[in-house]
Amino acid sequence: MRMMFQELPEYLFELKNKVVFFNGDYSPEMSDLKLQDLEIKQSRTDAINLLHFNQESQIHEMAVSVVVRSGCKAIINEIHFSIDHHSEHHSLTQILVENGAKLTHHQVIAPYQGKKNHKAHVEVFEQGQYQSVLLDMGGNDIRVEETIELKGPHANNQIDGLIRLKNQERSEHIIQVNHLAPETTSQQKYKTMVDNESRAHFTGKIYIAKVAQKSDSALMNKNLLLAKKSHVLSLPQLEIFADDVKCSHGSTTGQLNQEELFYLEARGIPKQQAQEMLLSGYSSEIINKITDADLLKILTPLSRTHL
Amino acid sequence: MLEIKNLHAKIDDKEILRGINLKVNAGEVHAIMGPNGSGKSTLSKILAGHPAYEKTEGEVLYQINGKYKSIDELEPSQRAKEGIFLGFQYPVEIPGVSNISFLMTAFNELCEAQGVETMKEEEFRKYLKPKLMSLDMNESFLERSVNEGFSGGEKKKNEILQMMVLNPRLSLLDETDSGLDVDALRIVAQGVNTLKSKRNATILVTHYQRLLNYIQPDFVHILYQGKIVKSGDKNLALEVEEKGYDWITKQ
Ligand SMILES: Nc1ncnc2c1ncn2[C@@H]1O[C@H](COP(=O)(O)OP(=O)(O)OP(=O)(O)O)[C@@H](O)[C@H]1O
Ligand SMILES: [Mg+2]
Repeated sequence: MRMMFQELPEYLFELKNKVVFFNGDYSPEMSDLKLQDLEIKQSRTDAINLLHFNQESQIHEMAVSVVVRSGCKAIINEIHFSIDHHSEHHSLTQILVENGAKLTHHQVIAPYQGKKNHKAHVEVFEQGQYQSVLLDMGGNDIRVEETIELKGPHANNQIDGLIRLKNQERSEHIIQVNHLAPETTSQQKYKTMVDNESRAHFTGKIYIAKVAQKSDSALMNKNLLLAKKSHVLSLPQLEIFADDVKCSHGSTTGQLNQEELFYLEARGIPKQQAQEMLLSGYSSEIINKITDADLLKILTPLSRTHL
Repeated sequence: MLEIKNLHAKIDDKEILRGINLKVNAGEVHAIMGPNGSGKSTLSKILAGHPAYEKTEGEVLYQINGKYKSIDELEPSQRAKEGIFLGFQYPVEIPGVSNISFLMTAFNELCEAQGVETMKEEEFRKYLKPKLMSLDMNESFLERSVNEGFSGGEKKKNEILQMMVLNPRLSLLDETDSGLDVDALRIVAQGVNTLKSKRNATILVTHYQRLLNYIQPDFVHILYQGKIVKSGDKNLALEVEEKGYDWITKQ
């Protein structure tokens, strides 16, 4: 295991407060936090890092559970990483955000080799807040399924997602937000960039139960096609059983704006670089939502090519 | 510096320029006036290399290293590096790209092309400071996304700021005066005048004689239906102001 460990990207090991899962198992020798630390009983300002490494040509499964107790605040960075393209990894992250608690959850799928199937199941109780930023930097077979249940009055969910694919990469994101209590709110924004022959699928479902009166929900999916053979399938869906709610959803798919591109080029910036600038401008709206400086620092080298 | 010979151009099969001839020498200021839709912006964009317009006939020659060369094959960014600057009639908003990183990228690209040393951010900010001051622009404009949410006049000032940073040989200023208040007009004109020298030339597209009070043109051209139908000195602009275009276009 030690030898393999050497091959893992060093920048991830610079992170403090980490819980490491290696090929599907909790690895105490690489972690500096214990699994029990994922029950948050006291607010903490420094982030907890969950690192999922996969490095073997095998199928691995694992589940991790995070609880943020009443009134507590926490930041969790969850990073998925694999360097074996024959590997297959199934992960489940279960999250409870209790009354009045707040969890900021940054989820990163670093450029991923192999198959990844990730599920997040989140329950948010009265006045609880779940804020998530999800970055998918691409892989050959990625599927992320998130279910968020707003179970107490005034519970809130906010997700900002960014997906960037190239070559023949495939990625599917399914998000379901269930409003199950009155006056719950949620905002979901997913931005996608697909280049070459890559394909992204997005399904966003908002369910508002009959009891969830005065709930407010917005779902937006914006897609940029960067090549003729790139492809996006976007399916926003609403199921509303309460009659007094605010709910909006939308989906747009387009190409890089040619006038913006020409403007940069007319200032001497070569086309390729001008495109990169526009793309990083496009992603910055999502990346700027990341509140953890250490995470931003390790993302910087990756973001130049993958975000 | 620039020689346009019998230039015809179209967009989406619509012919817009129908035989333009124009010669601009270093040190000169040319004003181009003309009714709405006559092709002024089209001409400016073609010179800057906008890909939507297609040249169908004629030649655009530009002096590079002392020799006149066709610019047809040059990408927009290469033209910019050769000193052609287009001040946009409608500057484009670029969300998520900060003005400072945009200006610095453009500036350093140019430095590299000219083989001079690039600047780091701190040094570049110092370099910008007097330019911002001369345009009466607050430094906070550097942190905002390019042109996003700028007022009409602020966008035009930002164009002039870019011009000052890039110090072009040939400036094409497409209605840079439109939407400016009197003070801003004077400031912008000062900006243009400061850069004016024997080695560079300016083409001002304008609807208003008042700009020409601040920036003295050597020549005034009237563009109508894709052709220059009349050329003269600055008195032509005064005549247009007084009598409109009818007397020229009806000839
Ligand atoms: N993409 C396009 N498709 C069709 N027609 C176009 C297109 N772009 C420009 N034109 C037409 O070309 C003509 C010239 O436009 P241009 O913008 O060059 O005029 P202008 O002289 O700059 O006018 P103004 O004084 O209003 O700025 C106009 O009739 C315009 O409608
Ligand atoms: Mg115009």
